Amino acid sequence: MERKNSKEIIDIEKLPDHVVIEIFIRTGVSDWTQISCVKKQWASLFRTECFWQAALSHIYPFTNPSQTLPGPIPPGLAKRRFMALHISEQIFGCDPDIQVDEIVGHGYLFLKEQLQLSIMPPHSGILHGTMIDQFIGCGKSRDVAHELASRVWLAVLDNLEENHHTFCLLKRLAQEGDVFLPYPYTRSIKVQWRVFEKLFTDFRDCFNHEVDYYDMLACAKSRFQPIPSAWLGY
Amino acid sequence: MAQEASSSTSSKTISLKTGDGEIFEIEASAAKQMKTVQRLIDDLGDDITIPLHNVFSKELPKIIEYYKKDITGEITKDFEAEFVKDLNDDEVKVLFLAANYLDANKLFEFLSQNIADRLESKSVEYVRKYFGVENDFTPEEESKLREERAWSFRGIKEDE
Repeated sequence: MERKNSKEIIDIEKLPDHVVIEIFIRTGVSDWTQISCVKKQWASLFRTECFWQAALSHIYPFTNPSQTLPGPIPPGLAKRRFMALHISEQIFGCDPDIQVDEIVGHGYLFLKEQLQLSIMPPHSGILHGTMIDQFIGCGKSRDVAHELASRVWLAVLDNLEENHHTFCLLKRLAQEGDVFLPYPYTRSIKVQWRVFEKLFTDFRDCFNHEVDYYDMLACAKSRFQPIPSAWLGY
Repeated sequence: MAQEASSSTSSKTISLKTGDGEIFEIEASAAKQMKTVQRLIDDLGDDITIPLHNVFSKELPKIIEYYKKDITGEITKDFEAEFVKDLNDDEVKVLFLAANYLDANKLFEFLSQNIADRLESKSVEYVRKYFGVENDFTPEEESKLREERAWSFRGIKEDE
């Protein structure tokens, strides 16, 4: 390889990982996909604990990495904690009153995984209850826990992949009741609403049989009066 | 016989010799900010010209300029903006590598940020060219990786 001006410069390529990481953590999350596609060694950096700890301490310096969060949802390693903080920021980005709180992001990750990755997710009451217990365990009041859990549900519902699995999931969620549970273990009205809304708008075409569709409509009518005309349209 | 550092160290200057044989003077307090230099001083004494094999006469003056401002506490956003304004990509890279070699933390962090800024929103090819690295992905591998790595809110998936 030709050397410029007969200098013996150590190429950037031969720099140790922890040095290159210093550049990556400063580019911002949106560029990381591009960066990891540059070469395989760089892609592998994004799987190291080293990278994620550096990212945490640079981008979210107020978090205490050795702190363990009380409650049933485990915070995991540095990468998961970073993702939780990043998601918390995105869910509450526009809301200046609410501080970015890692546990909200963990709730999101937990719920999304349970709903999307399991073949047969637990009853939504259990999932909801787990989140409520997590938030209360971290010192939130029942009202705040309920509100946070609602936000998490709405965010997850909006980000589920549009496929058949999600369609079946939404039908199940629509029909699962939790009338016998005490507040804050009941899901909020706006969450139930969003489930039906998604079924009748985004997933309308998935209803194979008219009977299926009308059954669901009847279910919606029993919960909400009146129901929007958009839900009735084809 | 190296003497114990006295309070007059702060006004002492250290001689640095670049890889291409030129000699530059810096204040001892500035030298302290470059851990590699300080280690060499600790080993060799502060009366000897410190050899820096991997730093050259093109970039060392710029580094000295930075730390001159640092020891007087005059580094401002404006100064930093001015400092990098006329540097092209290669020059920034060379300075970055030198700062890393010298273990000059403040300059290193500043230049890391500057390089990161220069790479913002750039394509993969651009980044490859910038660092002079070869692509070792097949097209299929790369597109699969992209799918997994959508770091946006929507596509967050676990690798482990």
